[in-house]
Amino acid sequence: MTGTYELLVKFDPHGLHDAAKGWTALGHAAESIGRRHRSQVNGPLCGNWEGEDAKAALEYMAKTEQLLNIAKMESDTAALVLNTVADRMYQAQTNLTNAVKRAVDAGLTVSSDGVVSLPPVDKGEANDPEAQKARQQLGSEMNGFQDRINTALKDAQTASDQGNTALGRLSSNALDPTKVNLAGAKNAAAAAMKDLGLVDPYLPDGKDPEKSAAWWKGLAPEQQEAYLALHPGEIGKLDGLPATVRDEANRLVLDEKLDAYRAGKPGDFGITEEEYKSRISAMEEIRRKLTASDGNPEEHRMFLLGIDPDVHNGRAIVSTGNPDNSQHTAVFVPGTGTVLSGVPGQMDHIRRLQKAAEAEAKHGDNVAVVSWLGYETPEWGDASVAFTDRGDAGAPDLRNFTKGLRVAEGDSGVCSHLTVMAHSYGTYVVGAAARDGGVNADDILALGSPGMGVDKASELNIDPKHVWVGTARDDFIREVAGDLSGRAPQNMYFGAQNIQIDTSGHGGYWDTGPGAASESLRNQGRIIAGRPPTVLPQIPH
Amino acid sequence: MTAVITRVSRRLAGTALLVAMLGACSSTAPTDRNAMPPVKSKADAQAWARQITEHMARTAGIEIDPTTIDAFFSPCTGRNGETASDDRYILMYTVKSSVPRAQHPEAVRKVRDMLVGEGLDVTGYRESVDGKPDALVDAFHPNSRYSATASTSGGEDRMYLSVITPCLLPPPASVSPTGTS
Repeated sequence: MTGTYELLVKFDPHGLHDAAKGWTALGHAAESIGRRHRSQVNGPLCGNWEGEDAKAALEYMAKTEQLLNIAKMESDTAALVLNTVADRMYQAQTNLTNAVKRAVDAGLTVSSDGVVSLPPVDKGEANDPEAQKARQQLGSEMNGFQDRINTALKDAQTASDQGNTALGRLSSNALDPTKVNLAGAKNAAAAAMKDLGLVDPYLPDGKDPEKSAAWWKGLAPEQQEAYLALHPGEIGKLDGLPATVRDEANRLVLDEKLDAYRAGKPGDFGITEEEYKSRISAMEEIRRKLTASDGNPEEHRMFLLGIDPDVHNGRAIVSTGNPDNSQHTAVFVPGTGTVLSGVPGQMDHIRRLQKAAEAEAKHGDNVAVVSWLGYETPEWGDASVAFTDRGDAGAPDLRNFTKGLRVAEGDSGVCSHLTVMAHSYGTYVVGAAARDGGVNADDILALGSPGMGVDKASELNIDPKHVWVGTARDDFIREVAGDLSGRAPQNMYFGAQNIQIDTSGHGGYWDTGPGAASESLRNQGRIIAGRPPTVLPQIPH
Repeated sequence: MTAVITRVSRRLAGTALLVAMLGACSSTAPTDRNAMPPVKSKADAQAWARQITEHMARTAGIEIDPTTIDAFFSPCTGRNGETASDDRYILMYTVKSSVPRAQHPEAVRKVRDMLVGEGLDVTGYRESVDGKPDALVDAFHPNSRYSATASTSGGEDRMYLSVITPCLLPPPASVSPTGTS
């Protein structure tokens, strides 16, 4: 005990805190370099360099960014471990010195090795009953002080041992691509946190964006970093958190998923070879498009707000522009048959919508457009498209997502003009979400809608003057609209505004290929920017 | 007098060039969805769009703010989000101009008349919303398959002029002037 006691008495936490500062600085440097690499090297090259050499180089650069992520994760973890150990040992030292001081004040003696003892017996004490009683009392207190000292020493030793174990888990080869991978680094960081008992078991259930946002804001920066590193899957899904946070988390998830798929085989995921290849290809293309946008200013950067390739048709939520500080935001809900492999195309699609809206918007206003593949879309090949159950299941999630946008933008001091727009079966999802509590929108746009689950636009919890419907002249949906649920939105008695559409067919509302026209695209841009589109006269359906 | 004739000749020559330019893709414009898109480099597409918007601006008697030029190249995507590997693209080209709101209807009317004269079909048109000046013309060239728009923009005194090209195919080994950001 002698050594430990002396060490704890002399312990100076500044040494560990200074070391932690060094690691924190290294983590920030890795993050800063990674960000600059994304925005100034990889991003611009990814959008403009093609061919075999480009492919090889871009893959290498993506790996470099992953290594920088690992370096940041390990540095942050080392800093957190050192700070935690320092704080705990300082607390133990404080407990120790308090116990010693109280013991001495009480008249006890504390030796240089931390042993508490009674003072020598005074002359005459043997014949003084009062003095004997006092000595007896002091003896009883002595045991208490000794216990406090022993506990303090034990706490310090435990903190030191835990820190030692935790630091030992971190790799000294963080920048050696042959010896580390993202999943391994994450596991090491998670184990290190667990060693210190730092993993807070509480994570919001995500059902209330306001609560999720409040929880996140209540965390210290190092706790936020730890959650991002250890629970990116959960953090990335939390509606109400800033888009930048969700993007950081979901990019980690995407990298992990890609690593896992590349290292595995179709049977590991219970899918066919074709589906396996399709998912990998989709994830690679999503990653490439995200990276290609990293060199853009924030209003044209892509944010990954959700990703899960494993469920059903796949889930991906991507925004072009930061919805938290844009004056106009649109959320687009795709329809029947949209799966993960279609998400890269959706990313091009939302960029075109963004451009169309930017032309219409007031000078200086930013526009963000989100592609929300956040529900299980039905398929053309089976009966699922004829039933509302998938839409009903997705509606609360959509409502939660748009509420989350409102919460997050509120933290940025913005109250944006929000448009919720959808195509095909997606219009039912929007209708159900709006009907059952509102979808937080200023405008709703339904394209090629089979029905929105209501008989009148006024049932969508929004001024019906701001409910817009677009249907191509030759869209087959006209024949079945109203069959799914609720009156056909194209019907004048539904009470929405029918916008002019000049494209052809059910899937052509954004066509740019041969035979394409663009009144459809222009009108979508106008609605997103809060400008009136061109509309058709009201005639009975 | 000679100078006047020269100016008129130049103007007529310029008009002839514009007629050719406004229908620049018509000889190769496909009508079949599966046909190959017309071949045009991104630089040429941008120059083409710039000329059309400049012509629209001159017709309307308004001045383009050069700081607002926005040329956005986007991959052509199929109806299921698929893209081809040959770098085919569309261009969305937009410029803005400061024009008093009261003058928007007249400016748009002039552009509409010019575009109709050049063979474009008007797909959308208005001069006011709720009795206030708020004008736009959307038009589509049936052969060259591009669309042109002149419109009131958000805010008080702004208009924008825009061209969206059809899907175009860059010539082999062409170099992009800008990326698809």
